Amino acid sequence: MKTFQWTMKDELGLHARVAGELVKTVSAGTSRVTLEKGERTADASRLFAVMALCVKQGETVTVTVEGPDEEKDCAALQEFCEKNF
Amino acid sequence: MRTIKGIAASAGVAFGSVRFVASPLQMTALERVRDPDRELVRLEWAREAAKQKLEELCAAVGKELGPECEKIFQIQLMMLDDGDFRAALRRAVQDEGFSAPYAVRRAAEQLTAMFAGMEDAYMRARLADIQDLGIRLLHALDPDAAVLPELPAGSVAAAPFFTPSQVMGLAAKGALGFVTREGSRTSHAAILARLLGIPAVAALSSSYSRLYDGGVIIADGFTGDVVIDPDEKTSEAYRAFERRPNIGEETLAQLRTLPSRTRGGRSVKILAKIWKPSDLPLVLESGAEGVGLFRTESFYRNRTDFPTEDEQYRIYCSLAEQLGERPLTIRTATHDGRVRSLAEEMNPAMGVRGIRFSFENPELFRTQLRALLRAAADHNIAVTFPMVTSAEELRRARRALLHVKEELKSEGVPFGEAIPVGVLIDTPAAALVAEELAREADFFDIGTNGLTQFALAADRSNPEVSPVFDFQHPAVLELVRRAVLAAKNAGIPAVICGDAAGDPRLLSYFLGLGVEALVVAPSSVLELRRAVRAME
Repeated sequence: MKTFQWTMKDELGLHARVAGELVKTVSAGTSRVTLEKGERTADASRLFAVMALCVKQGETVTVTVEGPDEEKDCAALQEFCEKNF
Repeated sequence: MRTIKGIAASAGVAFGSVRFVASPLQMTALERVRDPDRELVRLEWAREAAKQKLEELCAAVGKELGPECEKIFQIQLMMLDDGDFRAALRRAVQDEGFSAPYAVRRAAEQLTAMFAGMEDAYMRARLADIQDLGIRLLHALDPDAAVLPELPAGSVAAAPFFTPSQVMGLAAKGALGFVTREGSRTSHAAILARLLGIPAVAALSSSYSRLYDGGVIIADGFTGDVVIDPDEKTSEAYRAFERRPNIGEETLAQLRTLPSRTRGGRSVKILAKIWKPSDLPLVLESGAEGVGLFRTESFYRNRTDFPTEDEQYRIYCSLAEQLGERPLTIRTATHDGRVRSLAEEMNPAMGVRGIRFSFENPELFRTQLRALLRAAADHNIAVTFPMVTSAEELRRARRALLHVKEELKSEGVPFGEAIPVGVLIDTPAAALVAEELAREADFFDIGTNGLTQFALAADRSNPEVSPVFDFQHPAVLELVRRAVLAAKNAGIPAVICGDAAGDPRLLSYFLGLGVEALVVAPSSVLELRRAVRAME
């Protein structure tokens, strides 16, 4: 299991289009990816769940990656987050 | 006559009769069926049809209006494939025995409920995307369930909100514009309206109920005003505006490649500002003639380690390469009064900001100057120093730059010897000693937000003084005028930054002064270009 923290810098927060791209990135891998914000968690492969987490600018999300390819998938996700936010 | 206020969602004026548009979803009646399996097959078939339509739409829209727009519909494709959405549809048929159309309504309602309670306006706007998908499925189930009713000529469409496809439909059916009760400038409907060049006013909220079907209105997408039953004088004023050539004739998509030139042949550059490197795609799409201001504070946000010289160098080079020949002006890092300051201050806007921050943090300053000088070796890059209040401070900054140049020279590292050095005129002091500053600078960036905040003693981030924060105040305009004149007399370019730069009402003032460029958000570039092209 691998985790990293990710702070939302975008003014609009984790908005629909970015959420869509995140779900796509997650679906491209094989790992189970969970987002955790405060007490709420969301399965990162489910678009509505990700959007409903309503991550806003300045908020921090813990990303957990689990599975046989977690190294690779986690790196891909981290790159995605760096690039987009 | 009565004027109600909304948000200016898409520039232009729509002068016509109100036509309320009901959502086909809300008109779908409850219906139970005996054979749920048949309904599931119908739904699956409708999903496939909707998917194919959306894919076609994505391709067409992407080609005509650009990739940002394509993403609006791609999100719907993803929603369509989403497990939660499919499960909600299935449950409505299997567990509750609803007909396929009513199951669509039910599933859409369940998912919108997830967003309806949210405080965040942007997320609430996702309702429209879900509804759009629902309407799309209804249409696939029954081609008679039209996305939009017939609109008589001269209609201004009105609804609580419009979905993206409805906006596309409004454009195709020749609606003059639209007004909504909900929505914002960032809703997908507004983004599309701007790209298609349809005037729109959003977020009329409770005043929306003042509208009545068939009533004459003027929806002013520049100001957000909606005039109900306008009197003769107001009507005439708006008709004169409508007769102005160019307005509305060139869609924003066409404007992307047209020059920013007035009808009289006066050119002004329209540049974009960016907060962070990932904003650049917006600039490339916006049709901006370059980046007029890259605020590099984003480097320091949300991190404790500062970016290295090489890291910055790579970012600057990558931005400049994507821009090609177009210029890139980099503002040295300040720390913004609106974010938590590195050292807690009582009044951060007047504290250690801008060039003061650089002088207080010489290592950060030096790293940044090295990175941008190196990147300027073979790229069209300029540097500008913020919050300078005296010629001595500018000279000190230039000495630091010279020092770094010598360092790079002795190390044999290539750099941009002739990098243009600008100064931000964002304090009244700078505007008042502009003549002296002009002798030491290669160009002026006139920061109208800073000038307004400091001249009127009104904190930009304090909503209680927002009525005082007026960049059209004569004191602010006088400071701007002095700065531009000083630049003109010294033969250096003057560039207007800040919110005033994007206000079409100030365009003729700025052009009259002889400014070289205006720096605005990427999303405002095309509207401003349209306003420039409509000027005499």
